[in-house]
Amino acid sequence: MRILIVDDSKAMRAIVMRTLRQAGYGDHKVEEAGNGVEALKAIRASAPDLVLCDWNMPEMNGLELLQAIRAERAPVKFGFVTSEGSPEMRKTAKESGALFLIAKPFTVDGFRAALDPVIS
Amino acid sequence: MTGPQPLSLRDWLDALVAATEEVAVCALGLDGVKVLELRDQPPVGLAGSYLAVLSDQASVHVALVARIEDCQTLGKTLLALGPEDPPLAPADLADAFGEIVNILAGSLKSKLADRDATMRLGLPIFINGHITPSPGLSTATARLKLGSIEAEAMILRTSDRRARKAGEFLAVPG
Repeated sequence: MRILIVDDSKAMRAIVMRTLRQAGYGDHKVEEAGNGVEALKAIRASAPDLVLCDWNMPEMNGLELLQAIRAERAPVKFGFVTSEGSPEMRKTAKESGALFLIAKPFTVDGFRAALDPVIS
Repeated sequence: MTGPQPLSLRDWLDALVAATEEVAVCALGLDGVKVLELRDQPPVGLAGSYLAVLSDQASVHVALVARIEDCQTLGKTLLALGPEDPPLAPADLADAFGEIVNILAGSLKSKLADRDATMRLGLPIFINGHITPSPGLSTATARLKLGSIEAEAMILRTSDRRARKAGEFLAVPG
């Protein structure tokens, strides 16, 4: 499986990659993008199987990216990894087609709980 | 029937300290946070990240600041790097420390959501300097011990309408 990590923080992209390894997903191919615009280009170029995306980013935020992906009917699974996890945001994420929302700070177990149903 | 009371500066600071405790334990792997002192003046000569929180009620910046070498330690801790690892480059330090404050702000927003559901978070900026108090700017600071490191969690609330619109305050070199 190819996983695209989208976050404007290089540090957080590294942490998400580390958590993926710790959660047992180290065998998957991981790519990175620094915002929604970069991610959309990457998805158009070679559609990943799963996008793990921050919400609050410059240029194009995570929700705008998700809406763009769905508008293009790209068959990519999408989940948020974000510092905000309010009920309203979870509802918006779900209604927009996200499979899950992992709120920071997250744990390895939290990653497994969200990703196992998607990756398996 | 009345709605929730407007948030006081102390409400904001208490939520920020609680958020710092959560981030210290869950994201940094520290034992917790000890509050050493509360103040109503911003500290001088410390570096750290600031993030705007805007809502229908308030224009606030939340910040976590510390000595630059302690910022290094916290940034490296977030990245699971140890003291034997080389210091983070300035841009990487700003990025890592900004992410700490980004997570803090998200946690704070969750903790205060039942009092103000209109909060919107900005993006963090790293400042190596200090804040000059100005008319309309209220500050509340908690000096904290995070593991072996001293840091200061800070709330800056702007009440001036023009400044609230701009969401800005003045930073000067430390």
